[in-house]
This record gives sequence, C-alpha cells and structure tokens, in this order.
Amino acid sequence: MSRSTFSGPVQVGIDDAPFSDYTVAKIGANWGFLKMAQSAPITQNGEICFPTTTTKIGMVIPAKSVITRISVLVTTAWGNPMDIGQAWGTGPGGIPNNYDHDELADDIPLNTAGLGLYVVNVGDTDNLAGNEINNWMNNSDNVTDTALGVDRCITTKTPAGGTLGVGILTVEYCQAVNLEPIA
Amino acid sequence: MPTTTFAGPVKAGGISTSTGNILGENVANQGFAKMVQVAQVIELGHVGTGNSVWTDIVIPANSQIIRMALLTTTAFDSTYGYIYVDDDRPSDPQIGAVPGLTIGLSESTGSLVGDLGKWKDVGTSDIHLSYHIGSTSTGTAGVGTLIVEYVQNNNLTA
Repeated sequence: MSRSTFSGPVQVGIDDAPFSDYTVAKIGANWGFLKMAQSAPITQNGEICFPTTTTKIGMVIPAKSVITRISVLVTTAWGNPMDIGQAWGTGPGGIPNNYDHDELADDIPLNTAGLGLYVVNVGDTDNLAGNEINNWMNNSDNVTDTALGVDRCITTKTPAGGTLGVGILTVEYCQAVNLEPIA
Repeated sequence: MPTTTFAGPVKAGGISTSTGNILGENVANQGFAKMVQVAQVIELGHVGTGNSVWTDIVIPANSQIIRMALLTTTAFDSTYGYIYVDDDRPSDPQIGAVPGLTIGLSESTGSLVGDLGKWKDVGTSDIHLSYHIGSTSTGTAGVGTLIVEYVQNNNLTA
C-alpha cells in the first residue's frame, strides 16, 4: 500500500473563508489540524512499560503537541490499575533516563474495567500532581520537567500482581499546536 | 470546495526513521492521521440480523478501529435501541454496538466493543460495515449518524 508522509503538522482549510461576527461579514482562515494517532501493544510487563529492564521507546509524540484522547483496548484483563506517563532524555540502549510515570493519567482502573475499550476520563486525571494536567495541552513543556520543548516517549506503569493484562494503547494528538503561552 | 485525496495512510512527524536514541533529534516520531467515516442509520421497521442494512462505510484492510459512536437525532426503540455494527450481512459476533436510546452522542466503550480482534486489526481485506437494531425492535423511527474512526493500515500484529 502506498503511503503519504509529511513532516507536519498537517493543516487543512483555506485562507479566505467567509464568516460573520453577528451581522458583520468577514473573511479569514479556517484552518484545522489533522488529528494524529499512535498505537502500541502493551502488557503489564511489556516493552514500553516502566520500569523494566527491557524498556524501549515505542510511541514518540512530537514536541508541543496537544493530547486529545487516550484509550486502551483491553484484550486480557489487568491485575492492577495502570498509570500513563512520559519519558525524555537519553540513557543506555536508547532508554530515556528521565520519566514521570503518572503525569498523563493516574490509577486507570483497568483491573475492574473488563474487556473492551476504556477511554481515559476525568476520573483518571483529576488527581494528577501539581500542574501535570498541562501535559495534555502541551506534552513537552510542563514546568516540572526538564528537556522542555523536546519530543516525549509515552510510558505505562502497572504494579505487578494478578493477571498480566494485555491491550492496545492509543494516544491521539494534534501535532505541534504549541500552546506554550498557556501551558 | 475541492477535495484532496490520498491513497494513504497519511503520516506526519518531523523524524521518519530512527537513526539514534536522542528524542527530538534522531528518534522517529511519526503518527498516523486518524480517519473518520460516517453513515446514516435509520430504524424503519424491524432491522434484524436477517435483513441488516449496508452502510456506505468501508474500512481499509489492516486498519485499527479506535472509536465508534452514534449521534442520535431521533431516539430508537426504547427497549431494543442498540445499533449493532457488523462486517458482514448478517454476521455474528458483531464488531460493536452503540446505544441509540436517547437523543445525543453515545460511544461504544467497555463491553459494547464486540469483536476485540477486529478493533485491533480489521484483517487483510477491506470490510464493509452493516447494521441491525435490537433483536425484536418494534420499529419506532429512530435516526442517527454512525461515526467510525480508524487508523488506516496501522497493521498491529501483536
């Protein structure tokens, strides 16, 4: 199958779209961002889980992106709740040497969710530390992190115990929207 | 308005291939553009598995389904108002179900996701989606718009 590749971000729209502010006719841009997605198979002790001895970079989200949705297709039930975080920096074997294991979602109840699609929701993000929720608005510029403005690797962390969960993690985002002024 | 069409999949990211291990410099960061197709769903009499209805939605081979939703504009039968989405006509098990019981936007989440394997990867051939409604729907005139979002040819093998 063919493939069309862009450095991105990809925006679609026109410069001179007609619209109105109440009764005032105007002309302006109506560009929108293409929504992007990256997915990876995960297990409780899989390659992109933290911390393991075999951790590798699996999903890398470009800097200054807005994360719009995270979901997990659970195909084997989890034994414990799961955290979703980000990693940055460089260590031996290409493993990022800095990470925050729960800066995107904390204690997602995959152990009780059952099989099927679980969408991360407000109950998973209302207990993040400090201003970590800002990572959803700007994945690379949380003031508590170093390496500001650099791509981020997605990580998951689930304590050992119970059945070993299996699933597909999907992160949706708009590339390089750059909401630095507010995040 | 003109349309720009690609065979796809469409990918974007500043680094297409990993040549090192420094994030932001030489580690691939490309993602897939998320695609969406929509189709009207109408409850005209009983739409059972035996007379399920084709939609206009065809998902390319090796794609990952990541969202299925229904925007209900007229409520479906209050007892059997679940819309079951199939990849055959009829088929069992269905790919997923979305509730159309009340006006508004409903999602297929949790156990409403039927065929986990098809969500992960639809398979090596394109699939044509059809739908049926409840087992014994009495035929109130529900109307909705089925929304299916997917990543084209993601080809998840694990």
